[in-house]
Amino acid sequence: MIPRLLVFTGFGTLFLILETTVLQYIAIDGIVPAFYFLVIIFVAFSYGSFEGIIVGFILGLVFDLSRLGLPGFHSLVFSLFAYLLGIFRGKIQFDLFIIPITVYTLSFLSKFLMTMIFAWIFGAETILIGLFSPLILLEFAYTLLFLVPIFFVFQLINKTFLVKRVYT
Amino acid sequence: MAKMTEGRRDLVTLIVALVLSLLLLWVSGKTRLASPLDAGMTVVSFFQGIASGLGNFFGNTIQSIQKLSELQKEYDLLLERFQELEYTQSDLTLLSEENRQLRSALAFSSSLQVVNAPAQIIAKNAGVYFGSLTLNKGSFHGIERGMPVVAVQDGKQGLIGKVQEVSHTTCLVEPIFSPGLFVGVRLADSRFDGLLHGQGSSSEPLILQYVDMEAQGKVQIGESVITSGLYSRYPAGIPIGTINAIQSRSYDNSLEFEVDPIISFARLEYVFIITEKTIEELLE
Repeated sequence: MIPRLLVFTGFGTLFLILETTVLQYIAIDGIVPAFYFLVIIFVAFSYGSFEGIIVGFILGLVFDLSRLGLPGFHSLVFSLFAYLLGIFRGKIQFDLFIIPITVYTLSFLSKFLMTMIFAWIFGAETILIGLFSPLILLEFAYTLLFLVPIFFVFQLINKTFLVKRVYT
Repeated sequence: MAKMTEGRRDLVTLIVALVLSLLLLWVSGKTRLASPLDAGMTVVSFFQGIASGLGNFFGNTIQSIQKLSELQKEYDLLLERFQELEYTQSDLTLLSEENRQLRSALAFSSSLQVVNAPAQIIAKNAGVYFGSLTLNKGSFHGIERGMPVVAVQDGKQGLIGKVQEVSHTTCLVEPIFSPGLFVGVRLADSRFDGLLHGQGSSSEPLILQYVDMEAQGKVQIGESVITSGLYSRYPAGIPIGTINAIQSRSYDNSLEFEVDPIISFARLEYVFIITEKTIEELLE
């Protein structure tokens, strides 16, 4: 479990740092794919709530600290989101296209709703304005473009390095 | 039984994560002595600096190779121009002396210039919620929260935004296109005041509001918008942009304008943080 947490937290953190630096070269209207969010979805959906919460909390914290955010806001949203998504672990298995796209779309909507509710509770007006900007759709679509290859790589890493092999 | 324990463990972890998050929100919102925020920002920006540096290194290497052949041609041209410049050098000496005398006559003093600290952008925020720029200057360099940030592009100076968070070696700047940043501005020619804010994206025009209805017909498309210096730390007279559309609704008691920023945020690399006011302003 610990290697999985380290690997995926590392991936997510790396993505978040690259998003504000190197990935800016591929930004469309200032928006880059939200790879970190795919990491949280994959971990919560594949390994369950416990690991999802830990990864979500850490990535949320890095997210808030790497930009002009409210420290703790996204760790709160991502922890809760990962907990809820983790409940579905083992009930549906990832395939190549349909399930990842469906899970991502529903996750994006859930995150949108949770962010909206918490932004309203904490009076984070800037977040509320951002939520209702057309750019959010751009972020959704741009991330969707990379969804299948990223999940494929994650599954490959999982199967090759992180799943315990049983020898008979 | 094991499933029940697992469920309990998940719930406890969630509660711990939520409590920690709320604690962070509370700490950061209540006091500026939020050292966890500063420490965290320092750590994250350290890695941003490394990533930015690596990206720049590889980008610059590729560009250098491409430019090598161009440089050879330029070198030959420059050699010719060097000889020409030698002839004009004597003229330059005379002109410098003339310039010195003119400056003196106009009582121009370099001390009247705004004191500023040059800084490099090491990270640009990606995402839709918080437009921000991370600069490589922090409290160690004398940067404080609220300091205005300007940039020079194509020979023109323009307002970029305001320092909102400061760590030891970096700071976060809220740009003028942020919907949460309001700037007191003035129309350069017609001299009407207003309040300017962004729409959350650098590609969208800025919105200038609360301009007196009297301005109708007196403000022209293309008129410059500058900082007014009223009720804020922004020195007066910093250019921001130009008017590109005028909106007037019969039920409004003020005018609204769309403003194109003078600075293109997409190709911004270096900025200047204004650390002090001019002597002129202090005298005022």
